[in-house]
Amino acid sequence: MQFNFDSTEPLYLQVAEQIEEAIFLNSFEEGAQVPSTTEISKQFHINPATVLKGMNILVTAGFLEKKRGLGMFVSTGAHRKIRDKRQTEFYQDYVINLVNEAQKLTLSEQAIIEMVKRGFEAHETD
Amino acid sequence: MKPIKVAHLVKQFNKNRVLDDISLNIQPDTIYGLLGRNGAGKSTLFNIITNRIPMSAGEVTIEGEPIANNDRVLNRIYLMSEGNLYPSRMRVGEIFKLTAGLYQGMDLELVSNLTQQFGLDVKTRFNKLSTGYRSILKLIIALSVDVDYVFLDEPTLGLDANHRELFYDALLDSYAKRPRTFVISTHLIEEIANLIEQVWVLQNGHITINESTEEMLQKGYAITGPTEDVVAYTAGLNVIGQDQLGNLRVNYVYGELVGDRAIPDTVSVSHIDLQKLFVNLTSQEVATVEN
Amino acid sequence: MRTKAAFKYQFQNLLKLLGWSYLWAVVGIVVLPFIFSLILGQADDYSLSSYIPNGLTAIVLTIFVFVTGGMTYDGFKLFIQNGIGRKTYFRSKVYALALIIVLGEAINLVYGALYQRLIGKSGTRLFGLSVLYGDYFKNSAANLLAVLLITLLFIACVAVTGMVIGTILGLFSRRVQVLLIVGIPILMFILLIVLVVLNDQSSLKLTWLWQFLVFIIGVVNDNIHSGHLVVYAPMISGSVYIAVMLSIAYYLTLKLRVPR
Repeated sequence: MQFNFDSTEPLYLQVAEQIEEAIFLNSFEEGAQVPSTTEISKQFHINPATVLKGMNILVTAGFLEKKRGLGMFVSTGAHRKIRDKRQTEFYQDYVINLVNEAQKLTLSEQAIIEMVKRGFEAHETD
Repeated sequence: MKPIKVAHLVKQFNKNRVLDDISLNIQPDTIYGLLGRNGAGKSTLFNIITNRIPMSAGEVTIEGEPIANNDRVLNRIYLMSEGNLYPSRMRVGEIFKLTAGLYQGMDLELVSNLTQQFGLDVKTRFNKLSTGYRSILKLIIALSVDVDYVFLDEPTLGLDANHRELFYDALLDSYAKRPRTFVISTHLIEEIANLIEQVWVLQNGHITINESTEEMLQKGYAITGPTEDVVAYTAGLNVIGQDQLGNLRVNYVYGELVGDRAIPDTVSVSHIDLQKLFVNLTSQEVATVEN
Repeated sequence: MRTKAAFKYQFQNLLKLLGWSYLWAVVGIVVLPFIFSLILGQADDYSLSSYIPNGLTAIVLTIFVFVTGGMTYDGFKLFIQNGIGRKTYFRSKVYALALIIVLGEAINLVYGALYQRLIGKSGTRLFGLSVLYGDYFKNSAANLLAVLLITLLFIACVAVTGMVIGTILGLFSRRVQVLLIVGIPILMFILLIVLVVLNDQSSLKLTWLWQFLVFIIGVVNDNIHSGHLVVYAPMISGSVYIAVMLSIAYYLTLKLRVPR
């Protein structure tokens, strides 16, 4: 897990995102236990209440489950759920920004589509 | 344990009003950061809350009981301060023993663990310890002693980076095992920014900010762009500071932005970190002195 | 209240210091002269009795309670750092000093008895104050008890005097302390000289002061002989003095602060 804290977002959201990312990248596998609030708190010098707040977002989203007395575990199907969520957010997070920037640079719609195609081709030949 | 209530506290040294009408509720099980520039009165506030010095007016109470000479309350509070109140010829080990006897209890296992981790020699006499190791000795006591409120005045004074890391680890570990209130006053804001839940800013004898760290950070903005656009956009907002680089201007704002005012394309809005926010909030003090 | 813990710490600390004081007194008064006489080759002339004073332990105890009674600020500092307030600090200190005085007096008794038997010449009294009060009652046990009590009160008076001085000094910074310690005795000395001179010139007769002083130690009229001084007088005046001084010390202790 790699925490890269910047100050643009509240800390608890960053904590949630970092754990989500770790689940998405299979650093934390489904059914496996995630580090405890205390462990994360100590490791990154974050107030445990903040860590807990971040984790609770993931519990609400169904990515993590509390097991009483044992700790937090990655839910079954969490990986898929995260992918679904990110797919839905893809348009908002990436496409809108892409179009905004393209307009500032006076790039045409056609030019952007060409670039996307080129990007996919380059990725395939990797 | 009930909250410590500080109400309309005033401290006057001769004609100099160091603290003026301070009111605070210090809640149980919370980590606070008390931020203020040198000479803002942070140590004085700590010294009054722990009954080391008298106040000029106001009161400090727990459950309505004043703290003055009240052992029942004072024995639930530990203040780690820069002042050296331990007998100078006493050995480290004896100081631990003495503290365990005078307070209602002490986690001696934690004492011996931390002593080992920090490399503190229990046979050394207090006056032979370096500044850093004096801090370490007091920190070990602060974390191990059985109290509900721990006040840390410049806890990392003289500590190197490794020892500071070790201290923050130990602090959070101890807090997780036995939640209690910590009030930390430090100039190393970056190091505690993620640690503290609640921020107090002490400025000109007043508490000017008393907010959760999260809320406070949400109110701090850096507005960056060409000077005219930034100035136009931030007109009427609470601009607390600025940076200028050629025609590029950064205005720092504390408070709400105007929701219906459109952000020009040339201007970018971002949040700033606690240290930057604090520096900008309190830099006017020097400006007024210089003028 | 944390009086018990505070008392325990103070008492242990005082006890340790008292032990060291006895030791140093013996070294200073007995061992060193012996070594000197050895060096000078006069060991044969050395006699223990000429070096060991009758009231050795009593002198040590009196100086000890004065000094430790006066060491106020360091104790206060340490206690406030450890979450113990001024009232408890004061109370525990009084208890600890009182117990030390009783204990020290018991040691004086044992020492005096041993001295009488082993070293003393005939006529040595068990207490220094027996000279004044030792024959007041017809019963020797009552006399012993009365003198014991007066001695205890006397040492306590010294202790509370130390406490008041120490607490006053504790209110001031080191610099002012030095000023007071040096200045006040000089002032007192000058005052004394002035009084004596004035007295001699009979412009101001201080006989009333003298009479008052001898009255409170038990010389109630001019026909009293040494050994027969009224024992109740010092008991009452001592108790009153202790009560007054303790009240002053208590009031001043509540004013202590750190940093000063």
